[in-house]
Amino acid sequence: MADLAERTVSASIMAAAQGGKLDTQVRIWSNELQGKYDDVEEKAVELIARYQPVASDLRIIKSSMKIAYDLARLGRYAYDIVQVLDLINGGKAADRPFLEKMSEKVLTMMRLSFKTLRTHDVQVARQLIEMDGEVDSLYRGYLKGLTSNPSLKAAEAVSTALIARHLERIADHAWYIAQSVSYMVTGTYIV
Amino acid sequence: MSELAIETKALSVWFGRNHAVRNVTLEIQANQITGIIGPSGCGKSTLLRCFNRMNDLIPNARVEGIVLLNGENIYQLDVDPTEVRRRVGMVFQKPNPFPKSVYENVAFGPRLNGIASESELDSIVRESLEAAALWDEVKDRLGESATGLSGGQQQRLCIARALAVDPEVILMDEPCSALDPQATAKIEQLMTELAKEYTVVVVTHNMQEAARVSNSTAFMYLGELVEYGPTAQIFENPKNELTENYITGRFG
Repeated sequence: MADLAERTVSASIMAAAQGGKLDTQVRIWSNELQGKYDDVEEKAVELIARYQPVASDLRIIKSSMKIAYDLARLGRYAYDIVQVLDLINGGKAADRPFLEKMSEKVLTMMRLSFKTLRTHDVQVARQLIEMDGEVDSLYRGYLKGLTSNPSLKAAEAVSTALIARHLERIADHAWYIAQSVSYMVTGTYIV
Repeated sequence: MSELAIETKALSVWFGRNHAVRNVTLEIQANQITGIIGPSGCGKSTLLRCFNRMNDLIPNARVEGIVLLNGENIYQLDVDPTEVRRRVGMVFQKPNPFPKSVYENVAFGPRLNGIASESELDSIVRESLEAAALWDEVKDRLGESATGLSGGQQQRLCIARALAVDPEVILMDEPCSALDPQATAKIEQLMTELAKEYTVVVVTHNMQEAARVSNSTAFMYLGELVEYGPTAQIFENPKNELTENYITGRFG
């Protein structure tokens, strides 16, 4: 699921940076992720109903449900990004240098988060706290800049702001995944 | 901070050479349900039976350490074990009503404690049966034999019998293991009600039962108290690996 989510988000970010029509493919992948999330949830409920899991077993199941949801959300935001590109002038109007800077950070966060997921190394996840803060301030900074720049065209402002918002949400879900891994492994969240 | 109903300090029990309970120090909060779990033979029932000196009745049993019941050491020489057992009632795995009427089962204890007035007994019987959530089901058959009740009703009758002598603590040793899910649900609901007035300590093999009803859970293994804490913590994030392995079914 994480591989598929990574492929989906990368494709959509690539489209935002370079243009290109990817909405059909990204939609298919996003739907696939949603389907997998439904499967995980169904399996988790069955395990709870049949085995009444406790302790680490219970934490694994709870975290799996949350992580699968986060991965499905990554797919959905990736699709939202390509939709913005599709709807607003093929994405040509967007502030590409800004989005590239932001998406680089978001991709790094996502990969670190998936590394935590694969290795259960919670220490790696700590790096995400700072990066999430940086992504947040980029997004907020852009929104604030909108009001102080009257020459900005509507198409650029809207497409950049929307994509930045989706990227910011992707970063959040990458962080949530790392948090769930921490809970699964240690029983506590990273503070 | 609530008060302590029972406190043990360095409590050990031997049956002959078998060191069944090992150096257990434990604080049981008043008006709470405390669950004791652990594999067969871990000493959980023996520990429970220390709380009303039931182990005294077993030949070769030797108890060391301190058990405080509301601050008073119940193993002191001048303490009457019968009085301890009035203050600390017990309900067993198999419902064990006397082969007498429903009424007499509940009136038995108060009578033994010197209550002779019929009207007083009547009200004790009614109040106890009400507190055990059984009154509505038996009020028209108080004179009938208790052995004619269903298993779940018999168990609630035993609870009523324990309540009739006005105890401070109620000990339950596997109270639901002989009952079907519906009767179990009733007893578990009743335990929660009882905890408003009494302190409840329950020993159970059924971990889900401990998880459902108890506020605190103690895990025992090989006579030792391994871990004791709020039930949610024990079942979600136990600190001790033995606890983790036991409750997840990896041994025991």
